[in-house]
Amino acid sequence: MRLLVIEDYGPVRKAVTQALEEQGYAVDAAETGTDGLGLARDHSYDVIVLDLMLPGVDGLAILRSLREGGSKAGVLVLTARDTLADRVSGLDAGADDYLVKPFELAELLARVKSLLRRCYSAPNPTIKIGDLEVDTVRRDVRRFGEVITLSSREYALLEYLAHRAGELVSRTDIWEHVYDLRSDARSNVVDVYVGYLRKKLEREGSERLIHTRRGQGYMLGPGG
Amino acid sequence: MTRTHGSLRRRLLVGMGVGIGSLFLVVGALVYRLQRQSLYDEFDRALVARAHTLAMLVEQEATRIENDLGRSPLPEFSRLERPQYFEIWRPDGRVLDGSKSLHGTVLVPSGSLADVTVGNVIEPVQLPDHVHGRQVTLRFMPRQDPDADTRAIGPPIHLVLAVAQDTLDVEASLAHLRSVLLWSFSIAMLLGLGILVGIAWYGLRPVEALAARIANIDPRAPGAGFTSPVLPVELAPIGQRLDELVQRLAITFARERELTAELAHELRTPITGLKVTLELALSRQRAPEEYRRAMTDCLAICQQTHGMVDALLALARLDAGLISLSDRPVEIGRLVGEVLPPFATRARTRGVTIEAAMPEHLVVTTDPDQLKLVVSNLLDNAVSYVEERGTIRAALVATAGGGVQLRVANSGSTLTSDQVRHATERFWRGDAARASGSHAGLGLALCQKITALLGGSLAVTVENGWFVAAVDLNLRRA
Repeated sequence: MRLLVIEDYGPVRKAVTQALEEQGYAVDAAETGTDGLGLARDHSYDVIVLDLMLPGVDGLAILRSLREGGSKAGVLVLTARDTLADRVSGLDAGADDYLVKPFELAELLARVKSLLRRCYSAPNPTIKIGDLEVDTVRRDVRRFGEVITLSSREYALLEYLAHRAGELVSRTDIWEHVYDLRSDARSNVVDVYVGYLRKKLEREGSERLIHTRRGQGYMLGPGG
Repeated sequence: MTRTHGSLRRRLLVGMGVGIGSLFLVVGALVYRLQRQSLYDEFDRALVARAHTLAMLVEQEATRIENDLGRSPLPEFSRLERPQYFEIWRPDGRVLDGSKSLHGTVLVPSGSLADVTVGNVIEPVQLPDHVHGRQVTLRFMPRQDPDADTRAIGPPIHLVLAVAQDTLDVEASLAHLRSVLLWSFSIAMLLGLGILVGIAWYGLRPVEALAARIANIDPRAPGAGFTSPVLPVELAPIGQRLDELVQRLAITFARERELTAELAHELRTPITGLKVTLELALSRQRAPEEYRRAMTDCLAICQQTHGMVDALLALARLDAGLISLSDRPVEIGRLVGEVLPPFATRARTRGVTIEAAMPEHLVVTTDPDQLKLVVSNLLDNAVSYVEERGTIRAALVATAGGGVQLRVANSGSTLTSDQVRHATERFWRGDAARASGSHAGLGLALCQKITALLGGSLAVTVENGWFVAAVDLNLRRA
């Protein structure tokens, strides 16, 4: 899952970005409204964490611009303004959720996860694909009831494929949603991590879960 | 608890009651005195006329005095009840005659007989029957028969006659008059007080209405104001002043709410920074250097918040007039030189050049501590706003009016003329300062306040990408 944090206050931006990265998300950060709007337009983010009072372009203007441009990213607004009018104007402009400063980091992470589930129309935090279970809250992965240990990047790739289970997912999509701007842009990175996942998920003799469509991408699901 | 000093209504009633009562008393006393005088004058005139009538009844024939009084029908001098009295004395003091009513007692002439003049002497006396009366004493010459031969005409003999009568009728009339006046006074006072109560109620109604409106006023929602509906002309200035006061209070409360909201907003952001930094640090076991980085970040946030709180406290003290100045001669160029070094260090880290033009020996009389605050805030603002590798210019010039002007300018300003007008408002920040996260938007507001306290002014402008803060100090150059 790829996220964008737009926050002008350095300490908050830094801590939120790091906390989201530690959850295994690919996170980009922007300090000004202008930079944030540019990133949001150029990349396909699943969730945008957006401060309202920003230098350059303010948060509400960014929100309206994104929605007018057809962006479907879940937007979590962060603001120090807590009046009803402030909340209403934020939600009316197209925000999906609203968090007033100062907030708990755990609450921010929970709301981001909730937005991600909504984004992929998966109300249940546990995604089941055949005998594979992905618990998106505890970040547990089980197959045949056994816990499978994954690295952060492997988990992020699996969660993205799980959210789009049964769909053909291109390498570009995976790159856009699982890797941030600082990631190594070598073309075979996705293939390498898909290979790692296959090794950990698929026992010898068991049914294949990740299917390759040559020249098109990958699909997660039984059969194929 | 509200302290009160008497009642306006009671003051009006007592004051006007005492005034009207005194007026009635004076008028009553005057009427009584005039009436009393009139009654006694009339009484005295009748007494004098009677004395002259009696004198006419005494004749002189040669050296003999013929007294016809005994033969005259004068019952008022002989009756038993409330008689009148007369007595006639010869020049040698012997009694010539007296009324029967005297019953052996005597009247006492006014003074010695020799002192009695031709005119009348009228005085209050105690009558022989022990009642109060008045007595007229006069000297007269007995009548001589003009037809008598010359032998019968004797030398003129002066006799003294005293006639007295009680004044019971006059006193009864005066007692009646006193009674009438007393009753009139009492009734008039009662009626007057009733009317006064009505007048006071009617007259004070606008004051009570105004007081009720003042008691119910809410400065957060002042409503229609005190001059609407129309106040009496005497209260109009009070209403007008109250309207102005309430308007000022409403503005103050609105500003206070705005400032409180702004302050809450400004404090929430660093608190969020502290909170999420600490929560993140504690969310898992980390390497010591990661904890160290988190603590360093938290310390920086605390220092920034500390600066904001200090600036707010300074502004609050300035607003409350709690800053007292300690003026002394200050060499202003040297003062700027003392303040400059830390800002020059900060500027160097960003490749910024500082050009300072400070003439020596420019001495003014002012408070050096407050002036240092102004200079350091202006330099801090310039270092925060200046572009990378930009320039800061600080210049000090003597002005024609006998003052000095300190100009601190930085290049790379992106502010527009409209934006720069807000630069001295509290919590207002330009984008560059906001993005740096180190400014609370209080420095220029503080500078403006302190400059005004020092008797000067602060003007901020943008000129061709230069942000210029000019402090004019109309100070006496020493």
